Amino acid sequence: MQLESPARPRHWWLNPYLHLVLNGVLVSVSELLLKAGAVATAGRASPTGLGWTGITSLTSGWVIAGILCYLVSFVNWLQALRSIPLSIAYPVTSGAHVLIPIGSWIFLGEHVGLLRWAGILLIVTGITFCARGENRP
Amino acid sequence: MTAAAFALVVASQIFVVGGQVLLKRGLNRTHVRPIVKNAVASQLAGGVALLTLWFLIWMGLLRRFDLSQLYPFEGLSPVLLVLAARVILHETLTWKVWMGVALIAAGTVLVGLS
Repeated sequence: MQLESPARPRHWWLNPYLHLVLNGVLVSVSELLLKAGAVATAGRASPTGLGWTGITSLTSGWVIAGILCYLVSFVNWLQALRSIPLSIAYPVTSGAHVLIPIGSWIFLGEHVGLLRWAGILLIVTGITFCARGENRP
Repeated sequence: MTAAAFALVVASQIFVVGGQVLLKRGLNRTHVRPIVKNAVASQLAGGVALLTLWFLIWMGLLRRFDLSQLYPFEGLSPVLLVLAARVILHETLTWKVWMGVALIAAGTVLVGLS
């Protein structure tokens, strides 16, 4: 199926690339919130039979905030995907592999080694290539 | 990693790629007039269902394995997805996309190794 190119959005806040960036940021923020919530509730006893799930974490405000962030990010993703080819939008979401280690370093005090920084640099370069990959007439 | 765990990893990759392709197919239909609401809704729902399955399998894998063991496979998913977008959705891929995906895959593996 050959598609006509979707019309340019009328407002700047409908720009699909803005939503793609928001999606990446919100996914990363939600992962950090979920990790903080999981740590805060780690020792809690689970109802019988549900120990394999993380269900007791649902009482944590961090986890609830993480889930809300994730839901909003999905709306951003749908708006981005409406007009950006999947083969470009999806690789760009790998930005989460960059933002999450940096966020873990700043907010969670986790260590980021030299090899990891090298990997982050490669991913950023790759994303730059993909983001410019759209075949514009 | 056992054969069963490897099969779960492969299944999770298939679900994430299949889910995203379905979402995109549904959204592509919103640009074709007239919009067939049922077709859009069923493909979006199918996409969300596959992504939910992916999430459950991924959580199960995370509980049993270190993230560093699973991370290299994360690097594989952009490659598989771009291939699926080419073959199933007939998206045109420029050399920049291939280059970018290769760099991202290599970088993800490095992040996982460290």
